[in-house]
Amino acid sequence: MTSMPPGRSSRMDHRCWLVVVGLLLPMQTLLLAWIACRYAPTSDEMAHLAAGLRILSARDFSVYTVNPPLPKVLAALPVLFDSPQLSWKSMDPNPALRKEWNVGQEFMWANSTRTLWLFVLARCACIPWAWLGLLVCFLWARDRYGNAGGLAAAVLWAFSPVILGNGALVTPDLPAAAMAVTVLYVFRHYLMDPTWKRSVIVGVLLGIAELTKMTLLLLYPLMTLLLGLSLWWTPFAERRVRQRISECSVCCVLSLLILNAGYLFHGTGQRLGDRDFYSESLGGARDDWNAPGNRFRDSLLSQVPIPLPAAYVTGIDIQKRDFEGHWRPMYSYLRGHQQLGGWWYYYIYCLLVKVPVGSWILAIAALATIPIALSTDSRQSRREAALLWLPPLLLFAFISSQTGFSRYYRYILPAASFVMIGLTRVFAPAVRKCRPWATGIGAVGLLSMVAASLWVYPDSLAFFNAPSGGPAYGHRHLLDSNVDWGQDLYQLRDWINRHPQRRPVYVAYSGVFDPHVMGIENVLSTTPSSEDPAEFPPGWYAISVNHLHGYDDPGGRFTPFLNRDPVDRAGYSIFIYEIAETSP
Amino acid sequence: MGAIVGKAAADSPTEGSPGSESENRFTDEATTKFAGWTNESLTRVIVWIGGLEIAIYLEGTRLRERLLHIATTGWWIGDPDPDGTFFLPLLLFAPFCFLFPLSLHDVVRALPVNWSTIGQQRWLTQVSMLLRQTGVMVVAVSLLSLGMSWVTSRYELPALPGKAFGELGPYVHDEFSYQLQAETYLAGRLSWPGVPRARELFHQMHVLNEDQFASRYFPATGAWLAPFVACGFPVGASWFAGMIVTGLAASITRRTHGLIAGWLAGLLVAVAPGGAIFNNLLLAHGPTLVGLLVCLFFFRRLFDQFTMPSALGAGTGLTLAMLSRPLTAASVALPFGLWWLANGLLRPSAEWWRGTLAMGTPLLVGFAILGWQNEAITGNVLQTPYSLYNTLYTPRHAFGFRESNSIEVPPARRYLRDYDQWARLITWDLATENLGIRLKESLAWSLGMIPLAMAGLLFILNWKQQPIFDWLLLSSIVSLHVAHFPYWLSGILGYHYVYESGVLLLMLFAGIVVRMAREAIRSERMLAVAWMAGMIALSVAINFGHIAPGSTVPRITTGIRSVTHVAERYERFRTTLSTANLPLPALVLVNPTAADLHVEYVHNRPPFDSPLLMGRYRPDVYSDAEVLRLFPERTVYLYECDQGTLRQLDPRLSERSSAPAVEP
Repeated sequence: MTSMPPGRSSRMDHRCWLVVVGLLLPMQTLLLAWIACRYAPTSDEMAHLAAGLRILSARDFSVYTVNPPLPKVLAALPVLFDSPQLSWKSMDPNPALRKEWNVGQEFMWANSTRTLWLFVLARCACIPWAWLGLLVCFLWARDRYGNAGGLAAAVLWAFSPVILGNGALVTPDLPAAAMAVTVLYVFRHYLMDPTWKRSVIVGVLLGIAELTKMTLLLLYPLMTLLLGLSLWWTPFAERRVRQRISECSVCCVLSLLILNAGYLFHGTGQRLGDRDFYSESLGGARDDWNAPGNRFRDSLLSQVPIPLPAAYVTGIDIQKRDFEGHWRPMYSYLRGHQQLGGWWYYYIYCLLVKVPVGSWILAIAALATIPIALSTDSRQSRREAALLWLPPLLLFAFISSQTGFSRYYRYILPAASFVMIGLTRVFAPAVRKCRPWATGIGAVGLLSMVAASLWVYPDSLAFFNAPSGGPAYGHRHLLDSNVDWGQDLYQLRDWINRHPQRRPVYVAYSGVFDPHVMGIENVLSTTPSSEDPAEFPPGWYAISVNHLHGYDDPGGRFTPFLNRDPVDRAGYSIFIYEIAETSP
Repeated sequence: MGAIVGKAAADSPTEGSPGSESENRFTDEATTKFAGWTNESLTRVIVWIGGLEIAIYLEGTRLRERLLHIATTGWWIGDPDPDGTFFLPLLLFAPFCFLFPLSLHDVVRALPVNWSTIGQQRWLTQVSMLLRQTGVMVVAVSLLSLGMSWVTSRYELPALPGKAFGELGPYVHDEFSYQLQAETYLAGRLSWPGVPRARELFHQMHVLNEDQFASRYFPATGAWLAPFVACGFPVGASWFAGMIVTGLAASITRRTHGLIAGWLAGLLVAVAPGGAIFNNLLLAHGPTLVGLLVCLFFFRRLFDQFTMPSALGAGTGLTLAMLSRPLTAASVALPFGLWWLANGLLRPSAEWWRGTLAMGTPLLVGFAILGWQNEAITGNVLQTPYSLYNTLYTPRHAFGFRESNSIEVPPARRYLRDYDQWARLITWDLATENLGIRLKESLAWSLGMIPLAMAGLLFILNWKQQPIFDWLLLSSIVSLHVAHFPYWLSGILGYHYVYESGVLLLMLFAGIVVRMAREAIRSERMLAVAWMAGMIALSVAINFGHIAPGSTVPRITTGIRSVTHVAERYERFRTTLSTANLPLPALVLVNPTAADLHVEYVHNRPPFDSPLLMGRYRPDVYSDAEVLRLFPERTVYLYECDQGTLRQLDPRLSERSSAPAVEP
């Protein structure tokens, strides 16, 4: 495993390192930093930042429990140094209430326009997660496919629209993706050459990974499976099963310790029967879903202490409740169709429309190399291939199986890095030698992916590939954070500034951030209030695509605009319509 | 003087060679260390982080301000920070450029032409030989400076489309005073007799208006301007000074760091945006810098070999500078003087005494000239018109830390109240703030804040490897800043009191850059050379060009806008007068607004008998009737600056009232 693949030399290694660290890393940093400045605070970010500040200022983990604390705390650190105004009037002790958005809005009101700058600071603190992902992708692909493969994987990560779109946001998706690939990269080293030292490193990293996003709980079964496969593939005499199990137990304990330390051991060891649960799975069936329950209370398990922090368990419970549909109606949207409950094929469709054509070309080229892999790859290499492809497949399968709602393409982000690494096999020396055309096609795909991504930049969050119609038609396929997460408010501000003659401008914005803070007036609500005009008087209407489709509000107030032709747009998520004066 | 001569071998490369033996030895050592993690590497990392921090701070501040005030960042290059926005990406890629191995051989091999064939071309050899001539270098960079001065004078005034910068001056009120001084000398005088009537109406900024009417400034500037004023092209004096300064800067740097550094220093001084602007103003900086660089030029020669002409030249240069801006001259020369003194004390010799005499003689002549002028204008050999003016007219503008109650308010007749009140009492905080502003702006207006700050940091971190002459240059810069520390105003463009430091900075910068480039070439880091060239090119482009048309404003335009912010008012005044078709002789009294603090409407030529006289409207001293009575032969007008209107004072007033003027 540690042998250097053909085509690698220390001189070339040095140069590749320089290209990755000296060129790609700064490029991605610049791209992400500008997105950090160019996106208005998106819906979830408001909640994440407020939750992070709450943890730092009050050691209270009860806000936004469905997401572990590490990314939000790191994002909140530079903000705290800038002395923001903190206000916690909307705090509510009831853990069933998702108060994070109210707290986020309170933070916004307390800091007014300064909030915008504070978000830039917070987002910039998230960029190192993207560095981590880039470096690990490079290292893993280089180990597998040589320097060219490493560079290709780094380029894929650096310019991928989904990485750019999410990399600069105060959300846990990219940290989770980066940590997933990091943990499994180190675990791969462990499996290839198991030592106590490596198991300790894996344990620490696994604990950190669990502090980024709950989806990464999947790493435990996944790593167990990989360990089992590894043992199965190892000749019986070399297995040393007991030692492996001991090492992995230490690894698990360490990860739990780190996880608990991340929560400052708040509520660790609480008995299962003493807890309140709100999901059906943990709380049991009941009439009032806002009232707590506990299906374990009278069982034998009630005395079992939970080796997890209380807030973490609450987060799992609340997340489960949301997927069960007991929180609020969570509509799923796909291709103009909206329903309660999701689709198993939702994420497959997301890949079809959101992945750049260049990446698909690269994938096809990579598929074409499978016969070479089957004929030339050693058993060791095939094991490694399994190690690389099993995690994304299982992650994808698991996430697709959660059909309580299907809303966010970003949920499969942790699988992306493995795929990126896997696709770069077209640049492996063996492929370059036997199927040079595949390498050529792969290179074309890679370059066209970069070009397509930069073409849409900085609107990377709303990226849709050309066959799907591009980002301007993205809302016809998907909604919410796939295209409209409230990120285009600055672009709307710019549009209003650029067109002083186009007045009045009415705004129907679907984000959580209040446009009034940015001096944008005439904000319309989804349900007409007494202050709103009864119908749509003449003027200019800036409408978020979520509202255009009546997202989460079927048949909503602004859906009639969908039949009109927009005269302009702000970014790809706010369309602008004109309603002209009609002569009497 | 053996020490001086001996040191010369270490400091000065031989003619035409890229560097001295010791310098080559140093670079060889550096080359061998380059690849590994050495102190040299650590130094570079620190310098890089320093530059990056400045860029991030400036860019962060810019974006923050935009978000706070207009609630959007707008497009990235919209309204960029000239010192931060474009340097940030460049700095981020610096480590790659400095670490990626690429030899000169690789670059030449990659070129689409056969370099060895081209290298044998005769014309190329001749051109190459020509460019190695110091004289050619001096002439070329001087002509470039002249070209830049001319180009700058053709810049369109932002406030007055169709009018060029060089077309409408003077702008700064100091310029009128210098011009008056030149005209006074051309008339064969040191001063004019005082104003015959109503003296208080004819106060001019920086002009002593007592029994003698004369510029308050030191004599060399007027003398420098005089020939050009006589030719009707006053600004030519500043252009000419710019040429000499550029040539001398190139020559001095060439002697310390070799030919390429000389060329670079000359080119950078020629294209310095601050220099291009000040070369179009009638200020004392031109002759001061000429004097200082003449002094440094000869002092640099003294490092190589002691000769009496060199000592005499150094003293003469310093005298010229001293007779233009004495504080500047003294502070720049101080480190060199101390070094000279230390040499004399440590190794006294006959040569040292002869040199001291040769340097001192011109200074004594200069003091004699100064005393003569003092006697002629103030009546006191030791009282300069400059200090007398301060005492009589603008006491708050004095130099040094003082208590407010220690300032004696002069009689209202003389007192230029608005201008005087504009001055803030200097405090430690204000002085520190000004020091920072002057430092920042001197870097910005010389080339760019980041390249010069990084070079400065590198210079200090590599302090052991710097030649003594460069240390003395750096000390002069520090001394100049320290000397102006206790003054309340940062200056024109935020730095004009330390304007002279810009040229010295560029000389140091050229030396550092060329040395780094040599190291990079020898250690096969050609991208580092490209990076440094890119940074210089970017700086020049930001200073003079539109990086992104429609979004960016060249630094020079910002500077011209700042210096000529009064042009619009002058032009309105001139237009009003010319269209009014006034019956002559006339007296136009100007009633300025608070915003006209720096606008000098009143500039008359003695002996105050021209058909059209300008005066200050001083109802506190002379009532309208009084003015009319004092100037019965003239029609008297009042120009209201706030409205831009001109109206005649009613002649009947003089008959109605004969009340005496109010004497406060």
